[in-house]
Amino acid sequence: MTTSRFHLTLPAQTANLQLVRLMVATLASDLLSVAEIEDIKVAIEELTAVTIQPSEGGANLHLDFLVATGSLTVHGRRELPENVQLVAHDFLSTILEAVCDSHELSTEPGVGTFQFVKHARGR
Amino acid sequence: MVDNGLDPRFLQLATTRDQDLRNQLVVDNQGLARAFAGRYRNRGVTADDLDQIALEALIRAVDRFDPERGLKFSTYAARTIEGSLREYFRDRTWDTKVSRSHRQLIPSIRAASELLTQQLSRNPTPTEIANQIGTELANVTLAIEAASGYNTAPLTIEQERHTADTSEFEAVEARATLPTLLDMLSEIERKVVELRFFDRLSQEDIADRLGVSQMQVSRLLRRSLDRLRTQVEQA
Repeated sequence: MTTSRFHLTLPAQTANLQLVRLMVATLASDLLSVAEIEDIKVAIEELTAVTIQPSEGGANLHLDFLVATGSLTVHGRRELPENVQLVAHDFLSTILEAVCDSHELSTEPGVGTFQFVKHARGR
Repeated sequence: MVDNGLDPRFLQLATTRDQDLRNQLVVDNQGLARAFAGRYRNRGVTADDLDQIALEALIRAVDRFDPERGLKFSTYAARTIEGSLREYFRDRTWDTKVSRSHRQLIPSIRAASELLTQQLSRNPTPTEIANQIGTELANVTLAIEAASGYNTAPLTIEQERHTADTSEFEAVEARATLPTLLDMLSEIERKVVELRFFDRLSQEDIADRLGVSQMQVSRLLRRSLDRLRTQVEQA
């Protein structure tokens, strides 16, 4: 099984959302269909937005992409100020369940993380 | 917000061009400008800059509004403000430069996608589409991104009417419970969000059902999610 890993570190700012969308679309371009890529663009934009949202200034967002045969896994992480939690809106899970195969969003002391997995269909 | 139908000051301004009156009308309607500016948040332009663009457009709207034409000021100002914000993004942001330079690829991508779907009996990848039309993968990726952008053409009125006429739409409207947050979306946006995230239809299936293209569905979804996210952040 072929596996490729990529890492991207960028300022945790909403202005960078489109760069993240393009990055994930490019990495999945040989793996997923156009429609599936639209799905993961929604997934990463929603999760990144939630992760970036608390006090944008200064922090970096670290993204790891694992491109394997038939699946893409994205893991995101950022440092958070003390006592700050990532807060997901009510529909985040509903949206993510529709666009990816599994997802997770969590806050540990001083760090917020997310992960999602998308499997290719019909290949 | 002041409506010209109820506010004789616009008639007074048209004849006197009184600067104090003009300034007061701007102040009274600045909420409209801020509301439109809020729609364009999270695009890499600061809130202050967006407010400034919208406010300048509002001032132009107050200056140019002709109450004799029978149009509501709010309608006229909304068009002016929205147009200025769109123009700003079209001319000055990387987002839209991508859209311009790659827009001409979109018909080729759509045609190649349809052809390959038939040939492969599945949806093609962007790499396969790029190979089919003989361009670099990056061009296809950027063109698709541009096509799903917020700044491309909205659905036509005819398409919105078509959608609103469908029985499915009435069924969705009749649902007993809808999340309050979705209430802020337009009917077509809400419909697409419902079909995609609650009913789990694919973008292609939604496009077929609504009689629009998959890219329009993608665009609507993106716009809807942007608006929902903005609403949540503001809350």
